[in-house]
Amino acid sequence: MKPLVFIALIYFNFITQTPESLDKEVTLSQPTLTIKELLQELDRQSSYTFSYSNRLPLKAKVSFDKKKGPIRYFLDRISRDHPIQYKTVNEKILLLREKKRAPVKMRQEKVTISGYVTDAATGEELIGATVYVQELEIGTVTNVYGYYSLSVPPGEYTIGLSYIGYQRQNLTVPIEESQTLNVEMLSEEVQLQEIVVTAAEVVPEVQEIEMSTAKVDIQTIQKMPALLGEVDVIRSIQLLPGVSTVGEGAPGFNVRGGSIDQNLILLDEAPVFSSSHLLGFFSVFNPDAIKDIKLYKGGIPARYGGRLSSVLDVRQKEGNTKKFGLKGGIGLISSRLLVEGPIQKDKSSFMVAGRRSYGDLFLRLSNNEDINNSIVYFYDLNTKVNYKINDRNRIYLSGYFGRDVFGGAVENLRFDWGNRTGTIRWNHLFNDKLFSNFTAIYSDYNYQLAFADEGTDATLEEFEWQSGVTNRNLQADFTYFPSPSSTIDFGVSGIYYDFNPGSVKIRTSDEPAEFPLDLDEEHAIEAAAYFNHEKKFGDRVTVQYGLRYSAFANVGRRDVFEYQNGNPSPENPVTDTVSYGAGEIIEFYNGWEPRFSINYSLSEQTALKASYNRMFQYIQLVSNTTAATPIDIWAPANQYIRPAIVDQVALGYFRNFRQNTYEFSAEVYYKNFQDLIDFRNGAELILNETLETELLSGTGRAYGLELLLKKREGRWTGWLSYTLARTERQVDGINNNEYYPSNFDKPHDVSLVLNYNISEKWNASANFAYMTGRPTTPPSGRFVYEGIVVPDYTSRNGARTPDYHRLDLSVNYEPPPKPGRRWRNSWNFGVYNVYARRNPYSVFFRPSEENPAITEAVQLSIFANIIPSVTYNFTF
Amino acid sequence: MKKLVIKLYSFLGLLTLILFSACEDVIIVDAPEGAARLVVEGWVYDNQDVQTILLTNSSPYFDNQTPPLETNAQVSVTTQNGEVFAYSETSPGEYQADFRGSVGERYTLTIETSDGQRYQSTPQLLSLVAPLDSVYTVFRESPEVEDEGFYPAWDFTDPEGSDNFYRWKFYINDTLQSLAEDILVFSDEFIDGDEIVGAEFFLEQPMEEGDKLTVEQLSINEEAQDFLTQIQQLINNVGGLFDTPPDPIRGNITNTTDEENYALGFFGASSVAGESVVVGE
Repeated sequence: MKPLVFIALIYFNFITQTPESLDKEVTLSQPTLTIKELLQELDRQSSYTFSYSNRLPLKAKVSFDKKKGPIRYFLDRISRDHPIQYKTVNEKILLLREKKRAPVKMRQEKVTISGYVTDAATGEELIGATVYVQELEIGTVTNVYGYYSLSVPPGEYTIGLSYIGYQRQNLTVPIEESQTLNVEMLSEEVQLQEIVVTAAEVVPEVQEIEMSTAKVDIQTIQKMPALLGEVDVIRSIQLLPGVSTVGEGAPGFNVRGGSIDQNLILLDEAPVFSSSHLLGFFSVFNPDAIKDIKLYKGGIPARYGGRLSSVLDVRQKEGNTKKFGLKGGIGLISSRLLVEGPIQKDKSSFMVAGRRSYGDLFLRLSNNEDINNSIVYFYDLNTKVNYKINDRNRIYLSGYFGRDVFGGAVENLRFDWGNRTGTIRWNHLFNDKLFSNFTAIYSDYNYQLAFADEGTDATLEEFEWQSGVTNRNLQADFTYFPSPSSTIDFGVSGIYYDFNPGSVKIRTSDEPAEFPLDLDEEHAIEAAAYFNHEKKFGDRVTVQYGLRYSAFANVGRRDVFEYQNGNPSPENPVTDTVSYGAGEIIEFYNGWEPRFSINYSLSEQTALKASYNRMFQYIQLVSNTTAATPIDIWAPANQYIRPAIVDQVALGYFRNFRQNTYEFSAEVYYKNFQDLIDFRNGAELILNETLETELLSGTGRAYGLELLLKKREGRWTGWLSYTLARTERQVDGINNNEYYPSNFDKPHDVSLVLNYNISEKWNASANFAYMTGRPTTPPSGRFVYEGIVVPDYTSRNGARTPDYHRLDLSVNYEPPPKPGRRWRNSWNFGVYNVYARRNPYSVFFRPSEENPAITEAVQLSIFANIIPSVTYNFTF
Repeated sequence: MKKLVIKLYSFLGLLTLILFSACEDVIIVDAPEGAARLVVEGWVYDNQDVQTILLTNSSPYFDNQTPPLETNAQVSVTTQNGEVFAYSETSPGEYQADFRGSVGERYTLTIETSDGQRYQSTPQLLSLVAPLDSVYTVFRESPEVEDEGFYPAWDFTDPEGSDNFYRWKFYINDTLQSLAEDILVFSDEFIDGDEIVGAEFFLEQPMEEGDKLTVEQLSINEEAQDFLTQIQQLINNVGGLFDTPPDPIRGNITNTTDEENYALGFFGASSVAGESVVVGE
């Protein structure tokens, strides 16, 4: 018997010899035998050497109709019935596993490899890194905690790890039993000369189940030109298709026709109620402290709920577990400093990042007394501590504190507002296939307005007004990885809310505590449970289906007004006041939220995707201004406000070109909104005890097409996007009950983002944005009453402000680090609004200043000039 | 409070103006033109013997034409007892009738235009107005006010128990201060039955020594208060990012021939108490 050869690597030597024909007849000893026995017999009766892997199904039995026949006959039969291919090379017959089918056919017990993927230099967990088993052609990506789990048949595998911006790694590991494989990856920043992962090696988005999502790379954002050099996450995502804003300087962002309160903004899983500083010019996220940003516009997985239109999932850095580090920057608006480092090396670490604006310091230079006496600043503090108890347990503590403070000049005024969030998370592995995360969250948003004034008769008047919302949240999330083609998520969550719609204290020196106003706090509980299953069917189809059940109870203690005819309106007086005790349910709502996504691969580079989701929103922002303001309050669903519901369907075509260097996607969506709150004409929303009498309920629809072409690799990177969309509202009592465009309806929206690596030191970026002007309500006529020219506005949002477009440029200079020195620095020089476009901020309709009988439209542009900026950044 | 917040925003606006050299441009906006509507302006007062109704029409906002007059209309006011006062056109668009309003009476305006459209107001009760206890002026310095000078002040006593709505009109040297900012309306919701001493109003233009000030205190109703307030809002608060979208204005005149073709403007009835003073005397 000739020796059987195990193949690991095949080496061909091309010695020409006349081979024996495969037509040579052989006779088997019996008609039924195992593959291994068959191969041994063929081996004996021919001059061929058989080479095969021990991972072939050698013990499988095969039966033949005849015992005698050519070698080719027997080989063809086993190749037909089993995942085996054969090849003749000179005197050798190679038996190979047939691709892809092998792991399915082999009914072997599986083992699990699992672990965390981290950055080698900092110990930061990498979110969405690809872990790929080359032999089996299966792979997965790490979850938001950097964890992955893959089940494979035992064997020796080459495991490839890749992540954009990091060097690829191939590890050859024998996996005979379930094991933990934690991997550290080297970032491209560490060794610039090394080959880094190119897009082609990462599992492309086209193969993922998700659609209508965008991962925003914080490094890309940091290179983009920004207003006054202030790197801004929210402004950057407004350049993505389907994301827009009411106007420059307006807070928040609008996703696919949703208002700003329909975005679930999560910072380390804690909801952030207000994402803006300085009304809306800057956002609350300090870019240095942020690790990962992901935006879901549609196909939202069942684990998210509570808002209609989007989820912006922002993750803070954990802090370097290897060594201490400093990072910071000095800009025109603010300065930043981040400190991070290990508490115990590789076991625990911390991160503290602070940012404070100092624009107000410049105000001192002004000659205007109102200006130089004033205080305007904001600050952010991001903190995080994490502790790895062992391989199965990790604990994270994170917090955010941000505030805007405003005051001084006007009547000793102080006005401040901000968010606070705190999160405690415990990641626990029940076993290598069941991952869990337990979270406790506190988050609040509040504002305070106070002033002390010398009254008309030299009496001191003090005034203090407070309002806010508080959120306490407990949740448990589980991920189960039964097989590489199947992932199951499930979990529960509970939120307890306190809403303070406003309390006012007024003190005057002669009459203390004159008419204080203290609106009843509202309390509510929101609970949810969800299940989500992502499964691959064959090579082409991946399906994700899920269901979320949510319930909401508005609870006491609170006094509830009852109105004539059960219908609160200014005409119907309050007929009764009902008192509810603590915890007593005032109103209860619940609902099922189905979620479904499908990916059908047309080829490795092309896919069709479709999704449907239904979302419930139980708390809404009460705001009737065009852009929301910091004093707007959140109101829960109650006996007079129903929860809002949206149904969204989306279809997409995804195509990658040139080894995944280019990505193209086209998506269409349709959304139907129910029970959105709106307001009666002339509604008074602030400090109103009978707020419900001012509310109307409406429906909405939004639909659109989003095109995105993205280049991910090379010296040039960036994207070009175009959105064609409409968003409309219908409310009985507004615009003659007809559909009208919502405040953020912008049919055409084009964005171009480019980044060019000029050299190792120099890098240039450009942004261009064009969008249709926002709707505004124009006077349809005018009339004169008592000599006053009065405009008549009959058509809500019946006209548009002029179109908006703007080009920004920036250059980044990063000198190479001096050998042996850790200190590195970089400069960013930017120009905002390069061609000094006078973009509309607001359009007013008013009588001319020269002649009040002439009425005209006047556009106010706040950034009518080129705005240069310079920022200095450093890391140590 | 709202005022304070608005102040805040205007302050921020000022900041951006200075920091970023903001600018304003007159632009052309493509706005849909509404239908021309009849505009009614008229009151029945208890202190004059001739009552006047002015009829004009609304016009496109950017046309900048003087309001087209509505001539040859049939105008009359009916009391709750069925008494009819017919108005006659004394000059184009201006209709007058000789009668004095009486307290406790309800008046309804009826108009038939030459194209056959019939309009009717809601009935308006002429209610008694509280007397003015005293009218005087106070001197205000900057920075308390923008323009240093004399401003009107007055005392009055609100009758207890009834819902009263007030309007004050200010005449300087017998000229009505008629800017939108000079409209002052007030409800007694929080001062029912109180004696108010030192009510003050900062007119757009302060007075100087020797000016004659006349303050008229009028009894209006909630409808009139809402209408006048809305006029002020429409003029002060439009189009900004942090403004509420403006709403259509409706007065109290309906069209009985064609409901959609409603009229703009307001017809009211009011009792008037007036008093004059010369600044510095």
